[in-house]
Amino acid sequence: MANTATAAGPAQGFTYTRPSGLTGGLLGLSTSGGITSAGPAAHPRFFSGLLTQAAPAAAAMLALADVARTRYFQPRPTGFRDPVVTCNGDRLRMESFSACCGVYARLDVLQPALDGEVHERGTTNVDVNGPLREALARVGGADPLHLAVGADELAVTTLDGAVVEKKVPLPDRWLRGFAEVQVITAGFDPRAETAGPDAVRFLRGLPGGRSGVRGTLWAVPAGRSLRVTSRPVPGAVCLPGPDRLRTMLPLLRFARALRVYGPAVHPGSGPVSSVWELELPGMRYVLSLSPEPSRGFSGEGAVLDALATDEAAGDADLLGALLSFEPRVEPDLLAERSGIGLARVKAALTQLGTSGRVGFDTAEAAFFHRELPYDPSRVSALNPRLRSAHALADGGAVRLTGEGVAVVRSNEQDRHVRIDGDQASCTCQWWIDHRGGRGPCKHVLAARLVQRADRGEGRR
Amino acid sequence: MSAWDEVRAGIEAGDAQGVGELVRGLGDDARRAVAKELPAYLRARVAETGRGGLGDRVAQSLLVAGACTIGGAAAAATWLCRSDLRPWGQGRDERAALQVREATRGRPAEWRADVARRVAGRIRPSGDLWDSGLLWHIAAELAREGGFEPPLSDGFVFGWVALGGPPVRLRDDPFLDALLPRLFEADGVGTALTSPGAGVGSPAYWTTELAALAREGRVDRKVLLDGCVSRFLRGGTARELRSFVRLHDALEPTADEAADRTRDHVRLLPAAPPVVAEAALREVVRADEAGRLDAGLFDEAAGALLFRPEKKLLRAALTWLGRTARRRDRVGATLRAVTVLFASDAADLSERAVKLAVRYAAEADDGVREAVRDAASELPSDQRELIAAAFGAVAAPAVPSSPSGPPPFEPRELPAPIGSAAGLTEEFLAALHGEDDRPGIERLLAGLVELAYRDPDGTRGALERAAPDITPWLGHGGQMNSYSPRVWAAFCAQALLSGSRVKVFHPAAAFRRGDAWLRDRPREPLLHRFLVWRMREIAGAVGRVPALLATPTAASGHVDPGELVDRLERLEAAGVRPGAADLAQALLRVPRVVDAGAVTRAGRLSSKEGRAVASWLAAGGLADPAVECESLTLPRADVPLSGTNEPTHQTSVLPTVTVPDGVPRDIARLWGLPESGPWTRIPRSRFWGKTTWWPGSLPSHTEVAAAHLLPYSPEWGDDRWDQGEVLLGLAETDGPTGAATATVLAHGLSSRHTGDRAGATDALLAFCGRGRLPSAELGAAVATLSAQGTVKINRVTQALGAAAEAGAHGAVHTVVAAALPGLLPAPGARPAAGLADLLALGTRTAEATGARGVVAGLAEVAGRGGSGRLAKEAGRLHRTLAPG
Repeated sequence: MANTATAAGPAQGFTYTRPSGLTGGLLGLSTSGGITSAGPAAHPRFFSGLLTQAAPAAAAMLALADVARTRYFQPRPTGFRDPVVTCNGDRLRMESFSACCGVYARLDVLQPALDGEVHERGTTNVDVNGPLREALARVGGADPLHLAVGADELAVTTLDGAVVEKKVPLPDRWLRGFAEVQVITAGFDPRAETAGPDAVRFLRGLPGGRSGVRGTLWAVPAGRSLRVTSRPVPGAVCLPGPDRLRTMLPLLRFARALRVYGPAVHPGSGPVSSVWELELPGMRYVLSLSPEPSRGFSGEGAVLDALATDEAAGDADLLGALLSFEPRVEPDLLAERSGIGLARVKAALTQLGTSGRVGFDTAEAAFFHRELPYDPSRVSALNPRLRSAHALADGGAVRLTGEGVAVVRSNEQDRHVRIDGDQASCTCQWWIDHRGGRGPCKHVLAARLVQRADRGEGRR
Repeated sequence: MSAWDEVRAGIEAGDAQGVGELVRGLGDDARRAVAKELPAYLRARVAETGRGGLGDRVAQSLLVAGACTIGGAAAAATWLCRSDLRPWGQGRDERAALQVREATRGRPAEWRADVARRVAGRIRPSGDLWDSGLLWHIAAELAREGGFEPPLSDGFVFGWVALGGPPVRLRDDPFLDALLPRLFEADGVGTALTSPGAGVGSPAYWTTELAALAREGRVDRKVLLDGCVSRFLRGGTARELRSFVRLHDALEPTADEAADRTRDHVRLLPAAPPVVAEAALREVVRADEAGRLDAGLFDEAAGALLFRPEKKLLRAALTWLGRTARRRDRVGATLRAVTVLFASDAADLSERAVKLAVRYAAEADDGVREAVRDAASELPSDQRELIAAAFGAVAAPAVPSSPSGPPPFEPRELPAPIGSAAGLTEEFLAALHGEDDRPGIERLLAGLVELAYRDPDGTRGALERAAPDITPWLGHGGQMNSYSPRVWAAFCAQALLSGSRVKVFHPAAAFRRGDAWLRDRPREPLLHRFLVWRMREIAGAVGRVPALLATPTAASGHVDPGELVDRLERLEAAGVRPGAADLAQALLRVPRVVDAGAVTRAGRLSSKEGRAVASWLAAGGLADPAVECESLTLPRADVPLSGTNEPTHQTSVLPTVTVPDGVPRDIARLWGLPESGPWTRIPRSRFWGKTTWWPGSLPSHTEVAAAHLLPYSPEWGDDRWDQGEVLLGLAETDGPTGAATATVLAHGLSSRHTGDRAGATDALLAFCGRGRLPSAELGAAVATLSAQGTVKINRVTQALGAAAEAGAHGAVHTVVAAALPGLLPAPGARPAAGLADLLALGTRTAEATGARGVVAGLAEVAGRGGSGRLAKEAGRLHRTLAPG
């Protein structure tokens, strides 16, 4: 099964009917293949109308494009990657990862900033190019800006030919990142909120250079603002690699508030992810940071336990059919419509998240529906740790030696796995290095697979 | 002899030219045959010689052979781009490229253009061109020879800038017209322009040359000017954009040209790097002078500029706004814009903004007057009054922004002791790959000792089973020489695995006799030698004692007296004696307050060590040793290398610890500083061991621990020595604090790295939260160390500012007030960098706490006047502190 996968991901082709551009006050974002509520579409058309907050929107799109072309860890130049755009009806969301996969950026353009017509709901890629960047930088003041996401079919066919074809190697880790980031952030709570001027002062005061910060910094609420501290205290959020927030700096002139989300931490906590949300007029610019600059979201392993089971797969299929690009997925409503109860709906949403079919919006503490314009099955098929675990389990390398104890033979060495409910531990190097902070190791996964099979729960 | 044999002979002879001639003369079939042999031949050669071992001449011959024989353009390009065929050394790239050009002369023009394009596409537009110089030269030679349009890839343009230039002058360069527009689009060009390749000489070559060509009309100025502005708009770092700013300035745009691009220039003001924003501001001002800046753009420009953080730009903007408000008839718009600076942290800027507002007050309409009054609440009282006098009553400022009082101190929690052999195994493996944190490793050692006594076989078995790949390197004798405590821990585990008895005489003597006895490790700090002794002793005790006495029961390092008595009872029951180092460490870890129950129970102990502990507990610990700090000028222990200009003498703050009578011998030896006689040299400040362990070894004597840390703390300024963690550990200890604590804290607050400085700030807050901060001593230490050059005021100010924002206004104000007398400059003297910010912090904290008082020398500096920031901030603090 999975062992047919090759090491290098195949290139993903994008075809746009023309380059995105800004001419005569019209910002035309070209779409490539995507999925809409009516099904797959070659060049979906989502929105046309007025962008009422032109300057912040243009600046935020530039920031998003900057993230997409930056490698924060071991920097070197990289090309553009086109953001994923989802039209949820009342809002447009643009999502992108940094080239190192350690920063996830999302721009939510909300209803107050949009005045026009929604043609279709769905998800696609939009073209971003050099001239577009230049044009976006020229937007300012109170200039009105018309926005079209996807072009009118008629207009397209009458245009003579400037088709844009892009072929970019689509790294599987980028794809996996989409699945990981919302499973990780779905458990986050709001930790701090500061008003505009204090947010400006805080963000401008952060150390800028990459060399200046080794080790992990934390931020805790102090008065109306935040302060940087060296260790996790209750209520703190992790601030790993503060220079990764630098795309927020050009947006500060529009900032109304800064909100920060993270998991609960306690003294002695290791580095964790955090979400930094800048509220702009009519929109939100959100950056999620991986626990360390050297760690990409793709390798965090938060989806592995869910991926390794088929428990909620049937429910996930059922829910998937009910979703229709809602801006907020309401579990209660879904439970009612599907008739499977709230607990199973929540499990199924996590399962949907593992293939990137829902994203999580920390500001609203809610999932939103999207369909990545990539093949979602590759998330599980190409997950190296899961693949190795299946290989170990299938190869008979796992011996269950007692209740919750297993010996896994791997690389000609015995690894001792202890499993106690949700907790697990192993004696392998990966476990020693991360102690579960990056998800289970392949030995624990394999032991769980065998344990489950043993109990007759069945597995793929 | 086949064609391939001949070609191979040529390749092996390294005769590229000969190979070229040979292959050009071959027929199609023979060429195909040669092309087929090449990859396998190269693989075999590389396997034989290793990477880079082919030699330039062989590599060149292979390049030529492939270029001439490989059929498809894609395959040929791939061959040419092979990294093992790159020649090494100056000028080789050009020669190899010429050979390739000659070899492909017979190929069709489209084929050559295709190869050039493909090769150019592989050039990375960054870094040095060591590895892609050849590719650029091949692509360039092919394009020059063929006369077709050069490749337009980013890498080729980058290479053109980095490698082009003389001997071909830019005006004669065949690529000029085709590549010029791409100059402003391709990645990496900006940095290449400032550091162009060999032969160009001057970093200004490109800009002066292009400007000259524009003057002559050889290239279109408009292309250059628009190109620069486009490049600015596309963004980048100052480093990438600086050369375009230079080009833009070298073109000397006319007023009309500036005015045509005013909108773009205004749009650059908010977010461009300072060097670009300054250039844009110059152009905007020129357009304004020509009357070509409309009201909308003015508002935008002023708003964007005054929101920027760079003081230089803010000053330039204020000058422009002040000069033109009346002339351009926009007093209202100007005043609305400058109110944003009322909230500035810099006194000179906010005062300039106030002055500007007052100057034009009479011309402002009601709406503007209200806006100014609203913004003025943020101002300090004297400035507020100036505004009130000109614009009408101003509301008092809102409630203070920071919490009052430092955050409460929260001690760390210790994890539960290790209870099982499996748990011990995991912890042991984790420790070997983890941090050298003291609580973790002491917990591990305690678990090891207890489990090894209770269940030696089980524990040994668990360790052996789980660590097959780690055990072999355990237990070499040299490991105790490591500075890493986790290696010591591994040594202790090895003692269990091997069953051999560890001798402790050596480290005990090293601790007790110090320098005189152990010549090979002469300068190790006392506390470190004590640690080594104790760790070695534990290695000898594994499996022989039921428990260690000194394992902490609190994160600070303290041992609960009741628990200590329990442990002694277990040792007495087992009939074994504790180690001398363990006992000394346990005594040092007794809290300063001992409950009566423990004292009573200790009285029932019968062993010699038990009685020692009992009398120590009964006495409630010991009188604190006297700690004094003094600035001494002495010869340096690390004599500077001959021929350097470094001074042989140095002034440093050094501690003296005088131990009272009646203290047990080992403890007295451990406390006392200097080790023997008075200080005669400034000791080396660099020590590679783990000072993070020290505070927890002396948890009831903060000032003594600080005194031991002090000689090593000067290193904390520029390097990372876990100073944040050390200071946080110190803040958790108990006992008097004074000059030594203040001095190490001052060094920590001056750390270069944000994380360390934040740790020192946390420690300061922890001291504050426990009411133990020696504030006045800290201020004095900052001034002293600043004069000695080991502490930087700007860093300390930043750290103190963060502490104030966290609520420690009162303590921070005391620190600042104590530091200022030693820092305020004499007339004509140069103030320390960041002093103005420190004064501003003094004002802020004084306002937050309502502090009043006199700071020696402040009135004098304030009275000197002047328009600089220092004078303004001194004046403001002086007025704030004035009683009334």
